[in-house]
Amino acid sequence: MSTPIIDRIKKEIENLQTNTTAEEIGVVISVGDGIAEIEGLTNAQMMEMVIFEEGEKASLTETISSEKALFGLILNLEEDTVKVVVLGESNLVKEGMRVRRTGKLLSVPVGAGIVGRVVNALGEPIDGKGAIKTDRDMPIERVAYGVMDRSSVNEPIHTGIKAIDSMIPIGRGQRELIIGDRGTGKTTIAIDTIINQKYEPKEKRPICIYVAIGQKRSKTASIMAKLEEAGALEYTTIVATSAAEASPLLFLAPFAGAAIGEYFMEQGKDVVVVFDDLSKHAVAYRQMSLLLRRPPGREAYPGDIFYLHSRLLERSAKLSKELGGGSITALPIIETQEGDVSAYIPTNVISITDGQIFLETDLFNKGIRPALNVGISVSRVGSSAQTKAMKKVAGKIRLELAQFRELEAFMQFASDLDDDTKKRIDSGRKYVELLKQKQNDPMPFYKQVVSIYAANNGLFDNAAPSNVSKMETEFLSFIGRDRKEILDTIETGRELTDEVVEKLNTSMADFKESHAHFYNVVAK
Amino acid sequence: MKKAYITAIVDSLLTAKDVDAVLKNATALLEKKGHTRLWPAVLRGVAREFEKRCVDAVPLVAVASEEFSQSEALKQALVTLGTNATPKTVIDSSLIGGFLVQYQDRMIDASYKRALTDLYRKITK
Repeated sequence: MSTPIIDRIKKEIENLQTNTTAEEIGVVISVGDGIAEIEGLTNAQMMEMVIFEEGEKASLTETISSEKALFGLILNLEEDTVKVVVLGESNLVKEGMRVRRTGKLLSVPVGAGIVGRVVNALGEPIDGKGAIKTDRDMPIERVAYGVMDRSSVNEPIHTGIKAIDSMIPIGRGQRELIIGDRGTGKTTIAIDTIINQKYEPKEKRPICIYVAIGQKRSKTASIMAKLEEAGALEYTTIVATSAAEASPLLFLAPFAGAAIGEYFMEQGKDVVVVFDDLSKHAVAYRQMSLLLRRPPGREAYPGDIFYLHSRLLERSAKLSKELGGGSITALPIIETQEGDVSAYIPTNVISITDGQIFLETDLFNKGIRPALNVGISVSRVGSSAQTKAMKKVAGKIRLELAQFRELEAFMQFASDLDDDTKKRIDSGRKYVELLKQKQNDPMPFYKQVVSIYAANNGLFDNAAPSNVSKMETEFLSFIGRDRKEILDTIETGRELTDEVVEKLNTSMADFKESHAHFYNVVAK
Repeated sequence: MKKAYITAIVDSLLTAKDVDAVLKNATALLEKKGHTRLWPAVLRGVAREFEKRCVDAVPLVAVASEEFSQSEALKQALVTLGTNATPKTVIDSSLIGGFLVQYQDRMIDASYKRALTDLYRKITK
């Protein structure tokens, strides 16, 4: 009986040749904490992969019974020795073991088949769905594209979160930091952004890469389930490293994510990469550096911790038309302690990125979710990428909220305030209510435009702030049911034309008439 | 510094008639310079360097069976590695076929075991 597998094996055996090229070898002279010191390998390069000859004296059966070769990564070139981090079970490495150079810099295998899969930091599938068909290896460390290869950010990435898309717009190719204490909804914003991409037309839909760095396996599993449930896994790759894995793998994970992103970017596609989170990445790098006996600096981080993150995030880019026009948008996440954004790693990453989204525990506890502090959140390049329709409606919202924040302190003296101040506070409260959104429920941008336009033009005047959310839902379903052409026009044209504005005004008047019960409450 | 001590001691040991005297002088020098703490590491280094100079000077050949020890490919491999010294040959049946030759920090693994392992990993990748 002949099967394709047997045929392939036969063919391979026919062409089987023994190796006749000389390889450089070294010997392990010490090993501990996942770091091996190797003598020899005089011509080795930084970031080169080496293979530990596990089965030096073992039989063929024993050699192939160990699932895969044990690799190491050269990270220190010293006078007589090289220091290598073991990418796997370091307890298999023994003193005197032979080590072979591969001549290859560390790379991840990539191909179209990697989309929709969960892989580890070395690009190997870990979701039990079988092998991934790959067509090339992308180096994990690589110099970012130069100035002349790039074009300015000019297309938006819609997160589906009203507060972000209206006031802190993100462009394709931008690096926007998501920063906040634990449990403030940082990952939720990133996941919502991934889910929201399903509303983008297929040809413009970015490929999403979620890099989990040292996360609990349960958290990664639940994120995968959420994405699958929302139908977002089909355009997403998860690069997962858990807290139980060795620090070198945690260190490599975001670089692997960037390498996978670059593969698609070079094909002219847009990519969104979420690094969740770079605080844990910095801690893993610190651990590895200390074990490699590199000198510690501030907070015991090595001196090149800034360069580590800057060279990673510099790889996000919007390529020029000549290079296909692809992009990588990076959404790094940083976890702060007690809201301290002036700590070492947060200040580093703030200065590297093109803006930041600040999330606050106080706002979260007050029920304002996403707990976004719009006052100090900023996007430095995204506004030029905002759609015309959103730009038109979003200008007012920031001003209203800024005024509301100034007057917020006077809210407790409500009875002594003049009418104008009361009106401004009331309007601000309604905007705050409008910007609240449920978890994993992103809103497509055309609905956001309608919603914010309605708020700017008095749909919620004379209504109770507690009703805003309900009114918004009903208004959007009213438009979606009876005036769908409005949404379609904004979605395709991405503009608020006079015709659309007229239709919206008529719709608002009709809605007010048919939903009069919402407006009775405030009359008192 | 450590490397300089190791090289000096090894060179002295290779030419000296009295090994004890070399080691005694080395200890005294380290003591005088205040480097006594380096002594254990220096001794380990000396042992390694000795092994390297003595063992690495002779190419090591492992063959699956006698028939491979006279093969043309093996002679060619020794030339590739830049040695015409008579190799120390051992028989290692776990290689299945072919040979493995090691000289200083370079190696040519032309064994069937390696070829089959690579084939297995390529097919099962």
